[in-house]
Amino acid sequence: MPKIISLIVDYRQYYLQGIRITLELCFVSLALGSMLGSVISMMKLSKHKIIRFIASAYIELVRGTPMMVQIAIVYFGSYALTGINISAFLASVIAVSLNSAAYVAEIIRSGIQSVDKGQWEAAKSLGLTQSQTMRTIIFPQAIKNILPALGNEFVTLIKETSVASTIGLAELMQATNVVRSTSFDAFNPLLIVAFTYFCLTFSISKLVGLFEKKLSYTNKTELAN
Amino acid sequence: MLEIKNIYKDFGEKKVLKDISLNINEGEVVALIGPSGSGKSTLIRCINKMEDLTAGNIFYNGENINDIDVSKSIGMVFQHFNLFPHKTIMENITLAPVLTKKKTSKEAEIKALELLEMLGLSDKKNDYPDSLSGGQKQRIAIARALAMEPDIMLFDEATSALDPEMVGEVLNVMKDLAKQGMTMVVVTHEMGFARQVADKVVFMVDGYIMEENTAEEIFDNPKEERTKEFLSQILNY
Ligand SMILES: Nc1ncnc2c1ncn2[C@@H]1O[C@H](COP(=O)(O)OP(=O)(O)OP(=O)(O)O)[C@@H](O)[C@H]1O
Ligand SMILES: [Mg+2]
Repeated sequence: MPKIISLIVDYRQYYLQGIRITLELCFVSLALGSMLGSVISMMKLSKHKIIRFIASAYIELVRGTPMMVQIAIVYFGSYALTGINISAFLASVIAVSLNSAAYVAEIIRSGIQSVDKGQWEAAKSLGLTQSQTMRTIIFPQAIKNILPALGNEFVTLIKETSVASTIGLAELMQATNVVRSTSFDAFNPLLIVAFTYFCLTFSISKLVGLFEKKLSYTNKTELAN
Repeated sequence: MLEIKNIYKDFGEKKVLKDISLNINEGEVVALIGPSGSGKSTLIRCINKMEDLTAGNIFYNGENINDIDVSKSIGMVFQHFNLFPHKTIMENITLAPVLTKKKTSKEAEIKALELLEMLGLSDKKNDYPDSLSGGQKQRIAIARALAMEPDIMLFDEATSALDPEMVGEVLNVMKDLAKQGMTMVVVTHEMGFARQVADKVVFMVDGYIMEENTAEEIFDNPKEERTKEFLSQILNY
């Protein structure tokens, strides 16, 4: 136990930077992934078969390959294809964004489809256009399902982005690797990082849960004006 | 006012409407009755273009409905109300007139207050649909449709999802509307209402119009065996 504490104290700079980079990567990627994911979800709900097919193919492809491979492809592929060396962080952001876009697309699609189709019918019978219906009727209801699911996606990303260590990004897992080799302690730093990941994911999950409760509460009573 | 001419509707292989023709005159109340699955809902959904026709035409004041925006003239009330749960009662009623630029928000609000007053629901204007009883919800849904000032109102089993004690309050609103001269097409299992309010009763079976007549004739003197059977079943029940 004292060993672990002294490791934490001695290497706190590494861990703190690792946490910061992990959170930055997840946050930026989820934001970009959400934008791209919205577009893909709209494509998936499109009337046109070809557009739907493209969206489905993208989603299946991303979900059917490991993130570690995706990150490596972006990192090494960008050099192989363009001759430009991009940073490990940029490569990770690109890969994780493209990855989470696929998951976010499915989150948005299922959020939209969870809204009762009677809502579409009522809006149509009242003369609202498709886009007016989406904006004023469907999306505000779907968002109550979408936001908590996005929170869970964030939690997933925190864990999965540990594979960015394989291209040398100094995120939390890579920080741990550095600590392991400089301290000549191969085991204890792993316990520390496991606990750190757990604290991050557990607290964010709890926050998402609270938020979800609040959303369903406002859904029932609608305190807002 | 509304001319339905030899319409057909298929869902894939399934033929749901078969050569339906029906005229609906201004101010008329038409009740659509018939067993489950006979195509009543499909027929009224075709009237306001919720469903596309497989064949045939529907004319509204002489114009093919395919060429006009029917939502301006035809309102619809659904079995499950379909109120917008994230909007207040007031917003539910004013949303469409404002978004479709039929009214300014001020005008829409004045009209909504008028409708709420008429329904005795003025005190609910800032509430959300979830806090209302089924009967109140359906009356708000009627107000929402009326806010668009339609010439025809379609009702698809507007009282079927209600607790029995709330059926009356909704039927009364519908009766008042009929009295005010609204043209109405009403799919209903409430035979008492059909008899009392409908000018014309249309009995559908299996995608066909089996019999069409005045309410008295249909109920007291049905011509078709199938009509007699249906009525005796539903009236004895
Ligand atoms: N979107 C659809 N796709 C496929 N079949 C449908 C669809 N809508 C309705 N049908 C079928 O069409 C037939 C007629 O349905 P419809 O809802 O018009 O009947 P209904 O007379 O309103 O019955 P009910 O009294 O049960 O409401 C049914 O057999 C139904 O299964
Ligand atoms: Mg029906």
